[in-house]
Amino acid sequence: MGLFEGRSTSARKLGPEASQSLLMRAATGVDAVFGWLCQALVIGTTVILLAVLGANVVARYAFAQGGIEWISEVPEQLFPWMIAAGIVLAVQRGDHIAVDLIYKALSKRAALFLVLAILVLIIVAYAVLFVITWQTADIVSSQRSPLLGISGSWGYYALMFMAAGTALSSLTIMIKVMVRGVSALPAANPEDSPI
Amino acid sequence: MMLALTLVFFILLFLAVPVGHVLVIASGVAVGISDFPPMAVVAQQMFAPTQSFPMLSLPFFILAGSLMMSGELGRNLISFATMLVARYRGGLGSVSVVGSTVFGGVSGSAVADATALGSMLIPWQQKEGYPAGFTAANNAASAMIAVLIPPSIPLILYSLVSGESIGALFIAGVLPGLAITIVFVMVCNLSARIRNFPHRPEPFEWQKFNRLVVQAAPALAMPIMILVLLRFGIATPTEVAIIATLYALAMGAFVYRDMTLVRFKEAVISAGVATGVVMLVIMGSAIVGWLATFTQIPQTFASWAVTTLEEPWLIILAMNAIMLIVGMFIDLPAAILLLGPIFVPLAQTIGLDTLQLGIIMVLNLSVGLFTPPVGTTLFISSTIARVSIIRASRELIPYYFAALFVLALFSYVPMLTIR
Repeated sequence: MGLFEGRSTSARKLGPEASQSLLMRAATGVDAVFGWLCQALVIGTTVILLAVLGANVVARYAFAQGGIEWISEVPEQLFPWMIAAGIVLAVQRGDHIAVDLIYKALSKRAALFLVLAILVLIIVAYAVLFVITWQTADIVSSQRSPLLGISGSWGYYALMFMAAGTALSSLTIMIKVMVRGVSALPAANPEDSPI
Repeated sequence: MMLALTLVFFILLFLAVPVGHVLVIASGVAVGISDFPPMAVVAQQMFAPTQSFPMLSLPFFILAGSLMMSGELGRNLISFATMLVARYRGGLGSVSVVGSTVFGGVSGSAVADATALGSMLIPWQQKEGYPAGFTAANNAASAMIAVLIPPSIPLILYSLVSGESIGALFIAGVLPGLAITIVFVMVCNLSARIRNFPHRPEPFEWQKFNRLVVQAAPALAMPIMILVLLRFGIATPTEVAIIATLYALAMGAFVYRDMTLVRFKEAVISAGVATGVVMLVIMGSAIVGWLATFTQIPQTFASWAVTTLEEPWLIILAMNAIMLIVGMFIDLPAAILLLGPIFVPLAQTIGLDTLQLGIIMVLNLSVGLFTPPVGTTLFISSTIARVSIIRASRELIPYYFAALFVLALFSYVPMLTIR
């Protein structure tokens, strides 16, 4: 049951199907762009880290060297981006674990309102986190990593990306749930579980 | 501040807000309503775990498991487990238990094991005449072995909160993993004898067994390789995770010849998502942990427990009771990250080895994976077996007793925790 479903004719005039379809298309578009970006980030960071750290292991053991010095800084710069992209993808796929005891006991309509309230809360919380992280990134911008000379803000930008991605993805889920009901909520994939 | 955090935490948790978000929001609210510390602490503490080099082992251990399990290897491992135990009484049930042990050494994920093994073994066991409730219960309980046999994600998380080495924890995790395997096989055997489950003893064929050993050897070698590299200090946990991933890639490409770019891409994305799920919980817990330390909660709790309960055995019993209750409602990573910082100082106060505490915590909290109301492997297995949670839970009673027996052993016999 969607929020726009089963409304009176006057309500339908206020929220015509055309605007719903436009909203849905926009939500799907934003999801697709963020999903593609996050997948590219996860693949890119994983492959680079695998190659760089693999090379370091070889250098350390096969050639009896102490490892390549600057390589130690690469994970510090890339790992936050891998995590941020993974968190946003998990939001899109509904993989973040929740205790849904009460939710399951609710009627369809009550469950719909609970889901919408949760999504609003998440959007607001991550919007606030985005602003706080932005301010923190400004504070640490003058710090530089010793070998690569990368600004201290770089890692915090990943956190900002995560906050913005989580808020935006929650917004697109909210739009879909409002139009199509709780069945539009993404279902978790067991293969994506860390435990 | 901590009262607000606790209240918001439990309200949001039971309103079905995902645990990672609950931790971030509850600690954000707690900091927001206080004059000190500033809100920047939230961003700083969330950022801190992303700079931890040992944490980088998480995505690569997950990826190594994902790469290994998505190919032909999974079927080989099941054939190997079937050959080992299927001919004995309760043997078809024991295949799930032994299968979880060998799968656990590769995937390290109880949920992945419950799904992969359950979807292959439950229909087969039911077709052979095993009761549906039993097949679900057996599959749900057996999956806990995966989080004990290295590589184990919960043990990596415990190392984060306790400072214990990942290598030492992995080595200490082997014995409880094998102990659970033995007691669960006994449950299968006894259930089969008492309830007269169908039994089809097939002759043991050495030739077939040898062929299966050769096919399964690359997977069986992985946990051994991880343990040897860590035990002898040859490589750091992150390096071992990288080596395991490269090993899995090489096995898929050159031995099984079923590694494709599409499979690699899917495994990488799946590992990235799993990393995101667990890292959000770690990042949220980092703020909660910082606030708990800031308000001296762990020290206060430790001194309260020592003065109230006095006897170390009673304190260990109380810790176990708290963990069992928490494990029923909160998922494993969050429970370790929240209880770890409180229980580690308490263990140090009463002279309990923190390595032993790690094993107790993971053993105890992994029982929560198959306890109602929110047991993840219980839900998965019941869905696959098409039985109600209640019916599966009734069948789980002997498994609870068996798991609690092993938990009691590892709680009160320190020499079982091997350093």
